[in-house]
Amino acid sequence: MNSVNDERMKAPLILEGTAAGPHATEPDTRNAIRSQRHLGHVALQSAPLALGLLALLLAPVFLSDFRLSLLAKFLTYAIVALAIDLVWGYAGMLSLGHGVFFGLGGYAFAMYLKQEASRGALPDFMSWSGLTELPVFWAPFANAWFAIPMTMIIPAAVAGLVGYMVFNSRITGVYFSIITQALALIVSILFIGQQPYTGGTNGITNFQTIFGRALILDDVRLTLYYVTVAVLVLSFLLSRWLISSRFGWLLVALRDDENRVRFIGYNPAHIKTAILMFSAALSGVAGALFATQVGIISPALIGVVPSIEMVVWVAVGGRGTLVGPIVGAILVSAAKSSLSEGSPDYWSYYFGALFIGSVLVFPQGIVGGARQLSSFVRRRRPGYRRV
Amino acid sequence: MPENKILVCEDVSVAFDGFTVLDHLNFSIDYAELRFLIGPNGAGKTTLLDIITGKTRPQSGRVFFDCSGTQVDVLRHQEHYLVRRGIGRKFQTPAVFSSLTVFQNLAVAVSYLRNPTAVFRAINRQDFAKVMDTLEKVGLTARSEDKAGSLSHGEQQWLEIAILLVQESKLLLLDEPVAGMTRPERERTGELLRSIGNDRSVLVVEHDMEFVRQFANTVTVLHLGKVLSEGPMELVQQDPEVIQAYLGHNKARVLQDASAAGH
Repeated sequence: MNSVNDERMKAPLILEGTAAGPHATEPDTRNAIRSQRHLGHVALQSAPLALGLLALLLAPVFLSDFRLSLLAKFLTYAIVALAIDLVWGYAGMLSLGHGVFFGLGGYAFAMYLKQEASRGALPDFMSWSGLTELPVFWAPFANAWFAIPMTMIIPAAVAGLVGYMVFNSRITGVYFSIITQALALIVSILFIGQQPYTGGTNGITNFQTIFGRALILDDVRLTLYYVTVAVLVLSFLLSRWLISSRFGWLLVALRDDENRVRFIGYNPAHIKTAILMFSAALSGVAGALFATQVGIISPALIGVVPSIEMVVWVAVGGRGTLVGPIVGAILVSAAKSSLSEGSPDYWSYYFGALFIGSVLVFPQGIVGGARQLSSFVRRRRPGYRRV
Repeated sequence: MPENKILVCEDVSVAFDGFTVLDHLNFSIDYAELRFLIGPNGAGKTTLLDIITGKTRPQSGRVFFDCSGTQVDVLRHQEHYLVRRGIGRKFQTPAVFSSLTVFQNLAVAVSYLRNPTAVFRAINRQDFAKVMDTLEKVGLTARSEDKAGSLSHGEQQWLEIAILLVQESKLLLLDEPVAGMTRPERERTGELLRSIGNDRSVLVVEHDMEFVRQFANTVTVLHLGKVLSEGPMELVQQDPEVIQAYLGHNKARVLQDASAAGH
């Protein structure tokens, strides 16, 4: 048994330059082994996932109201992190502007929440800045069923517009990152400047009710928490389906060699725009859930700094894995809130150290690093077969 | 456009910063022809491929591609559009998707925009069969589950050729397909090109004169952006102008050696 294994491990070396090798002679055994390993692999991957989901579902039983609301906030971050990972970890485009998409979704839903809080009157910040009438574009957002789809449509439309212009001009790599960062800066400055329409630096806050029910009620908070969990799970499943489809392979292909993608007949600009739009829509939903549960959306939450923080979640958790960004967003945010409870001034230093440390020690992030470690251990175990 | 020509370049001129790369070049390829393109460094070979694939636009001239009866004006379309019409290209350095498996490389290429939503579905039976046949043809069946990045240099070149084959390109442009290959690998590649050339047009840019001698029927010699000579290899390599063009380049020796070996 062992001698066969050894041969298999060496096989790629022996095979160099020739097509026929030990593999070719026993395809049936090989397939059988592969399907067995596949089953084992699925079980191994699904067990932690199921445990994680169970923990999220049971969290309300064990956590205080304060901790639960924190967790809900972290879960909205996890959705953004997942969205960034699709664009960065898979398609290889580092976006430093996802705060914008998060923010657009947040503002879209805040426009609904604020109007419901104002009960037909002009929202408070508008009258403070001298408006006498509700701006036309605000009016339709009084209806939640208009606002909800808009939390996805508006960010996706902005992503589509910016993405198509950028990608069609064949702007890639670090230049794309710089443009997205500029976008985050521009949008946050714009929102600060347009105080009568956006609430300026303060953003939009003082929400009261959602669908007529007070936001401070326990059952409303619990429902919102479970909605957030559901959106996260749904986003995860959708993303997993997407990256395991041939479209997902195409994303990885783009990361590997964009020019080759063009020369197999696809227009890379279309694929990149599509995935950026999808990612923006997910981020928008996350922003809406954030605004509702945290009770505020403001330029400080969507600008350059938060956008970079979002990228750090993905890097720490492990880009190119779907679980990684979720783990990263929750852990980093939890560390931030617990460390800054003790010493708020030092958080930036901790944050920087965490980022540098994780990049140096686990360049693949926590999840990527753990996977590498486990495959290293498995390879060392007797009976391992390289397939 | 003349009968039985798949590609015609008329009076094509390209200059980069005032330096003429292609100089009123006229060039054409027949259907089901295996053509070799040779010439000293700087002759304009790669630039010609860039023009045909829409990567570079010439200052003047016209290029037409015959797509089953309809003429495609190459100079008016983007790369990916021309690929979909049937112009496939293999680059000088192997360009494959290294983090995808060999199978995935081909599965992505075969799904192709016949229907834009096809890429969201699993590969269909027909395409799967096509991928498997092609793997067999280029001899990579046993490596289908391996990451393309783990293939040897020669195998990556074959994979890239396989990508063009599953796409059913009508005109294959291969830039130095045997560069960096071992002798047995070169033999196999030569055989592969011959069998491909039976029902498709193939244009091979090659520096390896021994390889050209062995597998070329018709050769075009490019020099200073112009066609210097064209015809069967035996005639071309005795053309005094060709020998003159290669003098002063290291290739002269190679050309003569190859010629000597043949007689």
